[in-house]
Order: sequence, then structure tokens, then C-alpha cells
Amino acid sequence: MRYLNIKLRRDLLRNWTQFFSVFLMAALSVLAFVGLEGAWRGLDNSTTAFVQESNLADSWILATEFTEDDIEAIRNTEGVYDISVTTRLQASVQHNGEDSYLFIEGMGNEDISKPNVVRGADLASDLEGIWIDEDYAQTHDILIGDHIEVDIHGWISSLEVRGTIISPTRMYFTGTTDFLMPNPELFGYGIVTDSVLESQLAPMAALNFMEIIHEGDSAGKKIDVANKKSKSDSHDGGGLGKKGTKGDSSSGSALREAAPEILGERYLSYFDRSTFAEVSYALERPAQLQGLSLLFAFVFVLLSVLAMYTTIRRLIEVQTKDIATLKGLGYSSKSIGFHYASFGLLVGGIGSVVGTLSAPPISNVVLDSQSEFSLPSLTIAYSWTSLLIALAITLICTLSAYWASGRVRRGLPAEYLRGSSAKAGKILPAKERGGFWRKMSYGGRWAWRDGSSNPIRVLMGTIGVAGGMMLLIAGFGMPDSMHGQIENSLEVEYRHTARIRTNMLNTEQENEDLRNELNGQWMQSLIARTTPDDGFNRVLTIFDDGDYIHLQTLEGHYLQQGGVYVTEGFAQAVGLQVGDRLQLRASMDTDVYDFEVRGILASSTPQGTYVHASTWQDAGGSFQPQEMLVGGSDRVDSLRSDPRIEQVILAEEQRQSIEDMLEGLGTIFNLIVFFAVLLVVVVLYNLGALSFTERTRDYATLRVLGFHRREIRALAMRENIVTTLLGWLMGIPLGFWFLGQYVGTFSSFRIMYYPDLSISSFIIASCIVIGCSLATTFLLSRRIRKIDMVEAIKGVE
Amino acid sequence: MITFKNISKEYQVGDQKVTALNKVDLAIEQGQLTVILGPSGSGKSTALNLLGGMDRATAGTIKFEGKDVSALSDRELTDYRRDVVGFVFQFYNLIPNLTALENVGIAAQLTGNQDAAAHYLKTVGLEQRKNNFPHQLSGGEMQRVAIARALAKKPRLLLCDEPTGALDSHTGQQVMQTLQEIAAAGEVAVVLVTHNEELVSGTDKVIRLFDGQVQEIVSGTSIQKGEGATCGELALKSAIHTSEEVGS
Repeated sequence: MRYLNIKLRRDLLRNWTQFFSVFLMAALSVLAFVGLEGAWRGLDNSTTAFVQESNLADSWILATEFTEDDIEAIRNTEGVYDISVTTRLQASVQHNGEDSYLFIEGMGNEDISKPNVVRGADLASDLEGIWIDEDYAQTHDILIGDHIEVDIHGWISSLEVRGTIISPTRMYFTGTTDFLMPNPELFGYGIVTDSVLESQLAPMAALNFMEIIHEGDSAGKKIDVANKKSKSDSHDGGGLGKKGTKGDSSSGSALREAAPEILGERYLSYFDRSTFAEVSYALERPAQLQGLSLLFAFVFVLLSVLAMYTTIRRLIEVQTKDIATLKGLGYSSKSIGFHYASFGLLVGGIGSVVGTLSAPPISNVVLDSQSEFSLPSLTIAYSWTSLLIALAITLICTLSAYWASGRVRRGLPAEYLRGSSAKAGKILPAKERGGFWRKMSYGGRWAWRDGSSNPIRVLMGTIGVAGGMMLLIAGFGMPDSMHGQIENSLEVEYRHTARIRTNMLNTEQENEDLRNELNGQWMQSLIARTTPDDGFNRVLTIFDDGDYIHLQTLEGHYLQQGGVYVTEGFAQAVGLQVGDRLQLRASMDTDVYDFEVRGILASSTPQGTYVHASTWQDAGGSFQPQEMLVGGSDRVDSLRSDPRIEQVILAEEQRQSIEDMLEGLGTIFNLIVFFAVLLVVVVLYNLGALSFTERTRDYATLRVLGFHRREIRALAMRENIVTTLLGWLMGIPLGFWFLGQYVGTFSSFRIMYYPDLSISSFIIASCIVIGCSLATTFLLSRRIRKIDMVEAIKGVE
Repeated sequence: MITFKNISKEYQVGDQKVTALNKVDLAIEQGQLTVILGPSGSGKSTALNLLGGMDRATAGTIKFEGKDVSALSDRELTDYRRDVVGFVFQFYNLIPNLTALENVGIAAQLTGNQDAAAHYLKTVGLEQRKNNFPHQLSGGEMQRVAIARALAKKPRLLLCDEPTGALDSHTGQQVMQTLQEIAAAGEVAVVLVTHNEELVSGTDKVIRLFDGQVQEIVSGTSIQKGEGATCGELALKSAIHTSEEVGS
């Protein structure tokens, strides 16, 4: 084997450009998987550690008020181990001339969901003042020892900032569900001691927020996103009054059933770790990224195989006589097979090692794009899986190289010493003598038969281009989908300028005056339990007449009175169709209301139910809206200073929130586009070069016959053009499927992303694929210049 | 028709300069079958490359009907090969994925008359084999397809590089007969490069090369009569010359 190893080394050096593409694909495969693993495992470890260290609650109950009896009843509910009850309030803050909102709560049971103190004094029940969230403090330049003035329904207090914290119940804190991204400029949270809460902030405020630890070891309990669907399915039809409707523990199910019964009209909602948005987003994200890493690694591994196979095939085409000579000398097929497999082992192995070693920067880039999560520490982490993937890719490269050498390993030496003319063409099929074939140019016939006799090469080229197109559609489609969602949500479905929350102390007359002044549209958002049920309480939006809600059903009808409308994601989750019956039990209500489903809405978020106020009231429900949609940009400034208004959310701020999220993810999208371009170039160049190598002598002959270079280039381009066209066509449906999977990894029970690709993105993606193909052909055409005509008049080499 | 005037061709091989042709003068006439005969390393392939516009001379002038071929640009050389030269290769060089007819047609289309492909295939007696791929043809048939392909371009100069080298003697004779007929028709100058003495029979002119120089130019008939040196004698002479150089 010594001389075969020398040959191996020299072949690698001589053909380094070909093997570089294999090296690149192997490295990219490993990089895609390991890079993403570093991020999702890092996030997973960080969230798990925080969940464990803070003793994060298993579930939460929100009520207008918890009485002593309520607390006792819940404490005695089956499966409840410990509880913490406190008050959560929303305050307005004006600091350095900027308006913002601070959600303040008491410490409650310090052993449950214990915040992490980042700076300042440790949390202590005997200290006065407030601990505010770190992001909010940094955004507003609030220092330890500063005083901030908080306004709770007109009651103004000054609190000294004792420290900054990160709360495990606010790992993904967006302030309100109107925002998809944390917005520390507008929203922050803080913790005060119970005594400060009672003496300075809201002496009369009721206990309204309960955190519950379930019996059994809850520490480190995480959401199994992969199994969520099956769990949900198993609970379909569970409905009101039935047990076992909730995800991951029976104690949670019991509590979800018991809480509305215990609290009656005081009940607002029940959440667990999979439904409490500020927690579940953080706990779900690692699984989403894991899915993404598997998806991308799969695509790249497939393409590594293509690259390795085509490269070895090229090498073997060139070395056919050498192989025949070796066989003639007595080398066994096995040793020749091992020799070619060792190309895969060496190049794939080096690629895997380089990919593994290059992964940390990618992991950090991806992890940085997850900075919306508030965690005490966020560092990349890896497991043995990364090493196994690197080994697997090396093995796959080795096997594909061995596979590529199959033909020459099996043949007899004389077959290959005789030359290659005998291998091409069989008999001229009758169909190729007809009119269409006669009209086809000689170059076209040549390319067609060449492709027909090398189906694997054409297939691989097609798959390579399709893979590139698929990645490009995903890379461009993801931001398009999110932009599309912004456009659809803020310009089509909702056309308001601001969403305001009225002061809860307003009189009915004040609210009516406000509506008349602003010409607004009332709406009320409640949390409702439904039958059929998928284990998640859903948002029930009750809307009044007005100009700002223009939601449409899948058939294109607008919302009307009579019956309820459900969003598509919710309908799919519980199997609802138009005409079915849906029962609703809303928060602050003990009655169950029965409606006919009048339409399915193609709306992204929130995933839930919509009903007109009059329909709701006709069914016996109470419509007491506190939210109003208003239009007109000229009023915005005056809204925030109006004492009748507690909170103002501008549509523009919501838009900006999504734009910020997209900006954060931009690096990932750009990486995908970069990978896609690389892929198309590498695969097409490899296949083009393989085709060129096989035809070099024919091209040289044509040069001798007097063909100009451009004519030969046109002949050489045909197969690439056909491959590109086929791959492009195949890549379109594949791309939309991949985009659907990609956006699907970010969808949840609250939000359903719809894959979307703008025409301009589609054109750009197509231009990149076709442009890469042309560029590759151009690169190859440079070889035509170097064709040695003298080679053609030599013997068969 | 085409003349070499004081043609030299040198190659750089590593550190050494190799002279393939050294001040060669020769002339090829229309309607004649000329054989360039010589042993290995005599410079006959180089002469063929220069005649075919596939290479450039280091010194000297090549004129085709008074036009200086050695001064042509790459593009003009391509046009020269396209419009003037037809080439028949030792190993046929047919495109494996094109049928016999298509192989001729791909060359015929260069003259703008691809419909003539069938005619040329008929000329070489292969109209029944037009839909066969190269691997379905015998060596002689493949070479006749290659000749038809060369003729389909209506060349003024038909260059044949060892056209019978891969054929048995009987088939080789058939191919030679075809070439003689082409030359006898009077429109084409046929040049045949070979080391095979037997092929000179019936040719019009034999240019014998040795060590890059023209050794002699005689008629094919005189060679047949035993006048002039044979290739074997020239090879022996070359070996003696080489050993004398080594000895000195």
C-alpha cells in the first residue's frame, strides 16, 4: 500500500481544487450541525440551569383576587406541593423624559421562581426599594441607588433601585402579547418587598398572581416540543369537565380543572411552563433550533455525498487506465477500493475536523441572535453527538468514495485498457429517428444521450441545484414570511394606529366619551377554555363594531355577527371545521357558552377565537372591554398623557419589534444564503468538470475540426443548463416545503407562521441559482481554452 | 498549394530545447496523395500539426495558396482549420454519443450544409450504418466515418494521421484506396503521415523525414521500386547517430 499512499498524496495535491469542494461540503455539513448544536445546547443548558437554580414554578394562576379560602383550596388540590401568592401591578414610569411601563410584583414565596440578582443588593424582605430588570435598567441608564417614580392609577411613588435582576418567569419578556420581541424601551419589570407593595404602591391591591410547585421532582422539567403534538392529539375532545387535558403532569391537569371551579368569576387564567409565554418561548427555542440543525445537517450531508461521489468519479475517469494497470499488475479490487475510499476518509475526515473546530464562532453567532432571552448566563455547549456527526460524515464520505469506485473495481483490466468508446450509446431508439429528434441540434442530441447514459450525474446535479434553490427559498422566505406577517397583521387584518388600554378606574361614561372622541373600536381579550380542547387555554377576542378589524376567513369573508370564528392553527389542533359547535368558558365567568363555528381565519396570532360583542352578549356573555383600537397618527402624543388611558401600544412599535427580531436573525438568514450559493457553485462546478473531463478528447477533436471556442462552450453548457433548469424546477416545491418546515419550527400554540416568499425574493433566488450555474459554466469554459488539440491526434489515453 | 519555407519548430522540455523540425522546406500539391514518412521522433507529427493549423512554427513561413498561415491569429487559425483542413485521426475520434450520420453531420454543419452528411456517408459506403453508434461499427467502418466526417467539411487539405494504424492490413488497404480516390478526384490535397513503408504504394509523393529534417522527397512509385532509404534504415541511421553523439 505504500506506493498507493504516495499516489494518494500526489493525487490529492494535483487535484486539490476538486477535493477542496468535498472538503468544503464535509466541513459545512459538520459546521451546520455542530454550529447549531452549540447554540441550542448552550441555550438548553442555560435555561435548564436557571430553571433548576431558581426553582421555577410549574404552573401559574391569574385571578382578579385570591381570597384566603381560594389559596387554601388550591394548596389542598391534588398534586400541589407549594405555592406563592402575590400581587402583580402595572405602573407607568417616566424616567429621563421617556415614558415606559413597569410590571411590579411582590416577592411572595422567596423559594419559588427566585430571581437572579445581577447587580446591587441581594433580595431581602427587610430592604425597601425596588429591584428592576437588568435589560430595562441598562436601556434607561438606571443605576443602583437611583430613584424612579412609578405611577399606579395616579398613585405616584418614588422607589430607590436596590439592584437589577433576571426573573425566571420573565425569560422572554415582551410586556404584552402585542409584541413578539422583548422591548425594554417600553416594558420592564420589578420586584418589591411585600411591605413596600402594601405601604407605598398599592395598599388596597388584591393578591392576583399565584405560582405553584407541583408534587414530585419538578426541577429541570422541560417542554418536549417534539412530543407536544402527540400529547395534544391525545387530549383532543377532552373538553370542559374532563380530566387529563394538560400536557406534562397529572397534577397540572387537576389544577387546570380545579382552578376555575375554586375561583369562579375571579378566575382569569391558568398557565403551565408550556403555555406561559414568558417561560415557554425560552424553553421551546432549544428544540426549535435542534430541529433546524437536523434539517440543515441532513441537506448538507446529502450534498457532501454528492460532492464526494462526483469528485471520485472524476478522478476515476481520469485514472481508468492507471487502475487497469494496477489491476493488471495484480492489485486486488479490494485494495483499489480501499485506495479510493481513503480519499473520502482523508478529505471527509479533514473537512469534519475543520468543520468541528470552526463551529464555535457559528454557535456564538447563532446564540447571539437569541439575545432576546434573559438568562443569567448564556454560553455555547456541545455533546458527544457533535463528535458522532463528524465521524458519521467522515464515514459517509468514505463510503461514497468506495461506492464511486465500484465500476472499475468490478471490471477486468483489459476492458479499461481498451478505452472508453465501447461504453457509450446502445442502439438508436426508434423514437430518436422521428421528427422532433431530427430538429434537435447535434449538440442537443449529444447532451441528451450523454445525460441519459449518466443518469446519476444528472440526478446529482439536479439534486444539488434543487438543494441550493431550496436553501435560497428558505433563506429569503423566512424574513419574507415574517415581513408578510407584519404586513398582514398590521395593514390588512388590523388597521389601527394604536391599541389603548383604558384606566380600570374609568367610569362607563368616561369610556363612552373616550370612544366617541377617538372613534375607536372596542375589543376585549379573555383567556378561554374550549371544548373541543387541545390542552391549551386560548385567547378569546370579543370585538365591537368599528373600522379597524378586517380579519378574513379562508374563503375571504369578513367577520360578522352570529357564530364564532377560529384561527386556522387552533382549528387544526382541535379538528374544528365550519359548522361545528364550540363551547367556551371565559375567564371571570362561570358559564359555558355554545357557538357554531362560522369561519376559519387565516390569521397568525393570537391563535384562538373571535366573536362579535352582540353575538357574545346574545349568548349571555358579558362584554366589558378595556381595550380600544384607534386610528389617526395625529392623536398619538396626546393619548399617553390622557389620564383615562393606562397603556398605549402603537402599531408602529409592534412593527419595530418584529423588525428588531428579523434584524437579530439576519445573520442566520445570510448564512443560509451563503451556504446555498456555495452549494450550487460547488455541485455544479464538480459535475460540470466531471462532464468536461469525460468529453475533453471529444472537445479537442471538435477544435481540430474547426469549431470555435464559443461553439464548444455552447455545447458544454447544455448539460449544465438542463441540470440547472431541472434542479430549479424541482427546487421550487422543495423550497416551499422546506420553508414550511423552517417557519413551522418557530410556530407554537400561540402563533402560526405562514410560509411566504415575495416575487422579488423568488426572482432573486432564481437569478442566484441561474447566475451561479452560468458562472460555473464560465469557469469551466476557461478550460476549453486550454484544450490541447494535439491530445486528440494521439492515441486513446 | 501549401508550402513550408525554412520551417523550424523547437520545444522546451524541462531544461532542454528539442528541435522537432529543422529548416524544413516542402510543398503539398492539390490532387496529390502525399505521404510524410519517418520513424518515431522524426518530426512528422509536428509537420502535420503545422499543416493543420494546430501549432505555430518557431521560424519560417507556411503559405497556403499564397497566404501566410504562420501569421494567422488563433481565431483565424480556427477558421483555417474549419474551412481548409479535414482531419482523419489514427483512433477515429468519433463522438461516442452521436450516430455515424450525426458524427458526419456535426462537421457538415460547419459548412452550413448538414444535409450533405448522408451523401458523404454514402461516399464511403456506409449509408446502411448511418444510425449506428461508433461502438457498433468495426475499426474500418469507424475510420471511414471519420473520413466522411473530414470530407463533409469540403476541405482543401485532408490530413490523415496514421489512418490505418489501428486497422488490420485488409481494412487498411480499403481505407488507403478510399484516400487515393479522394486525391485522384483532384480537388483535395491528401497528406498522410505514417511510419509504415507499405502505405507509400500508389501515392504521388513521399517526403521522408529524419531527425527533424527532410531526408528526401521522392515519388511513391520510386519508393515501391526500392529507391531511397526505408524507414528501418533511417531508424538504424538514427540509432547510430545517437550513439556517436553519446560516445563523443
